[in-house]
Amino acid sequence: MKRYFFIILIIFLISITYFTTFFVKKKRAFDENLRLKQENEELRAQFQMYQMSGVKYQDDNNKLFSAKVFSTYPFNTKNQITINAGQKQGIKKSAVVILKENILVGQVVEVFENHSVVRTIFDPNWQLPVRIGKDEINALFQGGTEPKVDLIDKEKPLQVGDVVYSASQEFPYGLKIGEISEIKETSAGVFKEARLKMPFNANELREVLIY
Amino acid sequence: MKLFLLIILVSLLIFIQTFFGFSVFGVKPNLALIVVVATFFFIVGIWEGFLLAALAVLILKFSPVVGTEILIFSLIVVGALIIKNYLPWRNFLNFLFLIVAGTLLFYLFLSPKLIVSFLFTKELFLNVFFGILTFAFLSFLRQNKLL
Repeated sequence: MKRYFFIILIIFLISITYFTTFFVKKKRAFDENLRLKQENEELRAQFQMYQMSGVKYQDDNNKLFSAKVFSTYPFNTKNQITINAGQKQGIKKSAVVILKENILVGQVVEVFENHSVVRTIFDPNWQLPVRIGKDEINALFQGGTEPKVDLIDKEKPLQVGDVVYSASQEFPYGLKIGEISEIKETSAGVFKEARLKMPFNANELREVLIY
Repeated sequence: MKLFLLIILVSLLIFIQTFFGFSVFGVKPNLALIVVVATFFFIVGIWEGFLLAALAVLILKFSPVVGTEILIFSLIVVGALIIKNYLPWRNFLNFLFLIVAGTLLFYLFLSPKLIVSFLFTKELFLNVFFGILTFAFLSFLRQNKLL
């Protein structure tokens, strides 16, 4: 009798978990510090872009849609986030997800009725052509928990603090990705690579904008 | 009573992992994996184990979508529940083996590139460390006939 009770309860729990959209909401209370930190990074990104003449963020008057990020991601891999906007709100697959108009977060990979899954730039398989600093040095951004840029021409001058921004035709030109924090030569000696200081933490995201 | 206590423990630790984003030096130990696998060594029947696993997955689910992570986690804990009966060592060593194997499998299926990273090493160390604490706590409860 007890065994049948367990079986029924297990089936019930599995049904709720896998076949419904129910989940135990773990959204933390509004965190003022995180909000201010994010706002600070967004303003800093805007200022850095204005400082770099010739790098203008392309504003094609696209309508930006705001969405909340679900929950606190419980694991260390920060590949994905889920947002509370989907087909009903007009979200499409491959839509670009950003912070306050000028910081790249990721791209929508799956769209459901009322929510969508976003692949973040912390995905280890993420690669993106980028440019660095005022000299617009070409490089390749590699995602992961410790993102970096590589394939940087060894002869090009690079400094810690230089801004890395998107230069791929898939994304609006000039979206900030991060800043150079450490520079080193690759073992082959032909290129340089650099570690990045990221302007946001995927686990601290609360609200994003979608194209 | 015993099952009720285990349910409370599983729920509590998973809430800590998910609500508070508990981390040590920026790395989150997989408290859900640790506590669920630890409880498998203190239950009587396999159905209690399935119940604890199903409850853990429900609490762990962090969005309306059943993501790859939740699916992989479910498969790993169910696998651990079944395999634990076939491991040849003492319970404590079997538990440690399952924690290490579970952590490795989780990264293997989710993000294999991260296995060679320092992040994986840190998480593995934390999982083993907190696993030992959890197992010791449950053993203490059992010795004092609270479990």
